[in-house]
Amino acid sequence: MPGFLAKIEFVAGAILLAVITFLVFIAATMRFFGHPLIWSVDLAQLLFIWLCFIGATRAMRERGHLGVDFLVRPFPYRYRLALETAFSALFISFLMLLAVEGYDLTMLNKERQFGDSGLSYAWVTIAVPAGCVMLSISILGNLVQAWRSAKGDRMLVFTRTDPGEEAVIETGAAE
Amino acid sequence: MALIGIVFFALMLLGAPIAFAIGISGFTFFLTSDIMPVSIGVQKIATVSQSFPLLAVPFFVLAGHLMNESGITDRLFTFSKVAVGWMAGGLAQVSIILSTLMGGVSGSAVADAAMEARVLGPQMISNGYSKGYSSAVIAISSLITSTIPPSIGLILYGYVGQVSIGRLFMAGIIPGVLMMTFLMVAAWLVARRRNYVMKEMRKPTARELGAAAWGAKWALLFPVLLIGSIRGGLFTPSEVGAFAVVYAILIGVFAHKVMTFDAIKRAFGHAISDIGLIMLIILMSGMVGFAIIFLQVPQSVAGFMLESLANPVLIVAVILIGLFIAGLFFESTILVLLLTPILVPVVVKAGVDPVHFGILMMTIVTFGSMTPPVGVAMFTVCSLLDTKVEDYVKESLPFIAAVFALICLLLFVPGIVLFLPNLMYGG
Repeated sequence: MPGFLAKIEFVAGAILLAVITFLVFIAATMRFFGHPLIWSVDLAQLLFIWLCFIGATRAMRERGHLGVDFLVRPFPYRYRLALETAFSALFISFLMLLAVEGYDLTMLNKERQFGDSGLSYAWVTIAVPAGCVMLSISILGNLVQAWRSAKGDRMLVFTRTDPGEEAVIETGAAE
Repeated sequence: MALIGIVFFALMLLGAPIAFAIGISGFTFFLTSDIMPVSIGVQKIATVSQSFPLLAVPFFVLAGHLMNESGITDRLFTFSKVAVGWMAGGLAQVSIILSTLMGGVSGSAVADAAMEARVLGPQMISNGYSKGYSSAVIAISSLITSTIPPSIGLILYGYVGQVSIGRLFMAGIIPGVLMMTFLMVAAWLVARRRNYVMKEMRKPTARELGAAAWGAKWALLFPVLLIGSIRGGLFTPSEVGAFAVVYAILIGVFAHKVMTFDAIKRAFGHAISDIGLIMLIILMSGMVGFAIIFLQVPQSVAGFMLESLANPVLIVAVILIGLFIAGLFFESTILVLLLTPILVPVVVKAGVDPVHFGILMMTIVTFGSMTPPVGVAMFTVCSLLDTKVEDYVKESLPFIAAVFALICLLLFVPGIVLFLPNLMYGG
């Protein structure tokens, strides 16, 4: 299941990244030749926040998010797993709170337009609750994986246990 | 503010991912504030993403990963080896030159150090270089990438501190080249004494050098095109980032004919994760950034520093020493994102050009990743080459001295940093 979600994340992220690059490339080229395209950059900007959250979810699945772990590194695995489990509960509550607030905010601001393009700003704000839900799902996935591995590989929720290792699951693109 | 600080440090020291430590501490401001509704916090997260200069981050991250797959690295390596391999400490000189050239196509110090440890490290050791010396040269020379454009760190600094990214790019060139020169001298002095030379190498003729440069022409041309296209604001750095992506694919597929569809997929995969982890920190810092401004933290810090220290050079020196100490413990990205909004108003009040300060700050916070106790570049290189950290530290002293000498020079002679940006954009 996490592998399947990771594949979707990769495909969606790659398409977004390619489209954003293309939009800005075209806009810059057209502007250079005297035909500016305003909507092109606006659309790229709108898609950007979605790319950020999809990328953040993917980085979460790969346990890639930066942390300062030199104080907790010496502790035995059991304690670290317990600590990261507590973190997971805290982070998911935080993300859910943001998601609810974000959803309400989006519903309030549905009318607001985005630049001169006629796109609704709601497409930007709704990315926050959507991103929070995606991040929560990947934290849950990591949590299950970590607890299942507690007797064997000893994985954690947020931190890579082996510093040299790259992505821990099939993510569509890697290798 | 005290509560925000306590929550942040508690989460961070317990090892929570920084994005969440920043997000949750910023969120406590909105939860505890009587006047600020929580929904404003969500809005701040969304607003952060709506900045055009910030689009330079995904483009240059992607371009960097694509360049690595495009065969540019091998060609730059061949060129560097012909150009400086014959000198005393030839392979060390190659490592330093290669870092400078790689700095011009991608912007990550750790990635550069890891690549060189794999490519150059074993060769250096088999040529009789000590492990400590090899690791020190490889890790510390990757510091050059932090100021040579396109540097992701400088994009973040420019975005958070509201400083022109184009000017910062221009300002980083001369310090980067000087850093290369200083490190080459340090490497040469040590190598000459120990007689580290490659027997089979000799000084290249102009013809051989030309042939090697021609082989690497697309890689060498890229920084020239980059600087040419942002000069005087012809294109914005974000637009140039989009060009760089297209350029890397064209070179890899058509000129070098090494880039397959799988390689492009791999580059996209790495890029999406990197963008996600950098951008989640930036998005989450939208809330705490707002709180810092709302609570007038920069003004208080500036007031305090200006009261207690009158001399601007002294203020900057104190800040830089603080940054150096912070850099020993924290990742450079984190320091740039958290401290830039507080420090830039302070240095501006003290009469220091924020472009000048940015180059110094970037060099110093990145330097932390080459030193104990938590240097990522250091650990990467030492573990790849199986070097003891003590040996690394002992052998890195001449290079550390060279870096400090350069930082002092840049601090006291701002003209070195500001000459190019003022020339290109007007003072």
